[in-house]
Amino acid sequence: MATTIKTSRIFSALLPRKSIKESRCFFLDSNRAQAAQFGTLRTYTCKGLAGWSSVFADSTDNSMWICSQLEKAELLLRAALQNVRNRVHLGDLVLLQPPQVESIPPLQALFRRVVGSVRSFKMLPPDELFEALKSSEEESRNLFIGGSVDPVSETLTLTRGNLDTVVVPFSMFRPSGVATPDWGDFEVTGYGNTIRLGTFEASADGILYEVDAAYRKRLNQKRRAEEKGFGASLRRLRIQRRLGRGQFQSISAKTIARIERGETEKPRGKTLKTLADVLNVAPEQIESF
Amino acid sequence: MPYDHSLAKSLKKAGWRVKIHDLERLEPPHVTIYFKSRKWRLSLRTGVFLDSDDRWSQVDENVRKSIVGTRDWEKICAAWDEIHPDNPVRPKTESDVDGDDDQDE
Repeated sequence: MATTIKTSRIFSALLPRKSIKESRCFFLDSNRAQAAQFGTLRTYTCKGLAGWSSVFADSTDNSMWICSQLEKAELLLRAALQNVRNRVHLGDLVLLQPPQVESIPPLQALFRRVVGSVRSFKMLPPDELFEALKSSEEESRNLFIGGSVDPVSETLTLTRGNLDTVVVPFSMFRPSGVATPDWGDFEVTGYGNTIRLGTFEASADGILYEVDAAYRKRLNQKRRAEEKGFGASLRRLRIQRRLGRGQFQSISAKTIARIERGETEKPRGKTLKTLADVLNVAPEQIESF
Repeated sequence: MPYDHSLAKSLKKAGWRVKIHDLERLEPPHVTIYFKSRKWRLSLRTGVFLDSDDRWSQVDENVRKSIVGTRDWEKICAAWDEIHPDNPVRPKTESDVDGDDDQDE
């Protein structure tokens, strides 16, 4: 008897991939409403395992496959083994339900990365997962889509929106003034922005800042870039002129501070002229300091 | 236990949250406004966003009204102090202030 399976293919700039053409995402589910959250553009109906050939032909090494049900993952595995030849891998696989333990090795052989294969893995709820995966590349890598706790090694393994993984030791989660982490009650919440451990909550930001050197480097680069702006120049020049913030005539010290911190638009007109007059430079020269 | 600011049901349903977590990035005291996966970090010392690209125009007006210029601002500051007693909103000395220097050199 032929099996009818619907899979939905979604094209959009929703995944952190090189181009839309290369970022094909396949959502394996017969639930159209759930698939629609990804912005479905095309549905495949595959009759029998051989019917999957066109699906695999349309996929690339950068595709993402999302399986919402256990049986879909098993079917994908069987279809891939029958249809796919001469491919290093099929892309990445996100499992919303863990497969049979026996299916994990072949899935890991067929896909570059398999997320959610561990039974204790806690994934974001589907609607929040889709939002996280649809985020821009920069946003998605700063979110967590799921993770698992290992009490033996006392580590928390978290998967980011770009499917990279970070391993965090329990010791990083020091009690706050009001809560202590409970490792037996873990989940990822807040569209991937938050890790909940009982009544204790950690922001994804706070975790990444501690464990990811590249994340810190990006933040520092951004800070340095901001220091290159008008405000930073104004601050350097003002200090060089040995002026206090309260010495800019009609402009208050608080406003000067805000300009220096880059919290306002770049000054124009009368404000810019006042700054230049007090600093004894031409208005357009301020930024050169 | 995180601080979860009370917002109108309609705002929460739409995906807005205002929170202070038990573990935060090492920054000046702040409250984080969330809209689904997006976030804005607002300094509790200066009332301005910590990230320079962020603007109030990106945040729902009713969320802003529920935070800024209300009695709740003090409540939020008190919540930060309770969760992070080692980094209070109003430090004991000026030198404790990180990055919020309104003082002249």
